[in-house]
Amino acid sequence: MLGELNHRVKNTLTTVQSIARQTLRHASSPESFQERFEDRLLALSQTHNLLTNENWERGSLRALLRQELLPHGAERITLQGTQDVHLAPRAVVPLGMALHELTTNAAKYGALSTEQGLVTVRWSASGSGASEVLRINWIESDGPAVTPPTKHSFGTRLIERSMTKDLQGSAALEFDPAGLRCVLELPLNQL
Amino acid sequence: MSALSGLRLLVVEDESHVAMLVEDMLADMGCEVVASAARVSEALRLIEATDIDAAVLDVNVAGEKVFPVAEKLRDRKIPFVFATGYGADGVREDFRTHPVVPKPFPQSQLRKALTKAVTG
Repeated sequence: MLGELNHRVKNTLTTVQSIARQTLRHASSPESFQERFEDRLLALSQTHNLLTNENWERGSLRALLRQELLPHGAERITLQGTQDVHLAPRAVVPLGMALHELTTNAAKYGALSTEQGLVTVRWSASGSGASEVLRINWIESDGPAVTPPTKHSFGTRLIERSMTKDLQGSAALEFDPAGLRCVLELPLNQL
Repeated sequence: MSALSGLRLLVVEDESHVAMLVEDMLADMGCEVVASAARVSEALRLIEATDIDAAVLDVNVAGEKVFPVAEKLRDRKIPFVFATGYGADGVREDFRTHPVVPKPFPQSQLRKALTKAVTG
């Protein structure tokens, strides 16, 4: 029990070390480093709150989305899922951090950077048994015209990598001029 | 030129944040990360398919122990180090002679452990 707790703490500290290093590498100034670092640290902390509320047994997808998105104004956020999905603890952090990067991106450059912009997240499961897949559709609309980024940001790299590697699924980002879209496809047996 | 420059590395780590940290450190040391696995089965496949000189292994990989990977590397005489939140206690007894880097770690410690592994 104590050994497991120690392991969890050490892993979390290593995650924080990584966030610091990656954020520094991409920061344009000390101020921007501080802002982005604290923001990511808080997101990590919130995924832990979510797990603590559920006794570190599972985390709810809907709660994860609400936690990230609702501070940007409930009236602009639509969450549509046939039913909630219970995520295993080891899936909550990567998915939570990926959703955080999408939210930050929307707040800085996308639909949540203007008064009128909207974010809709739809999710559903399909298939059966080992091939059952959770598909999460992130759709931004009514925001500023989207242009594809010129360089691969840390956020994009993290989203693609963590969905592919940590959760053995996929992430597809589409820089549609009408609004960013992202489709995450995740095997349910990894969640 | 250090003993590490130009080395082709395999990284086995199931958390992207940590994997990206290790890979960045290795790149700073002049190594080339040629294979990265987040599952034991994937690592075993990559060892078969890729020409690697050394490896950095997390111990607990998505609920599985990494030791089958360590065995395969040992059989092929490919040097490796463990990087783990469990410290040396988490490493199986017959692998305790291999360097263990306890998480979290500074780049200098990973460099030292890896240098020790490859120079013997």
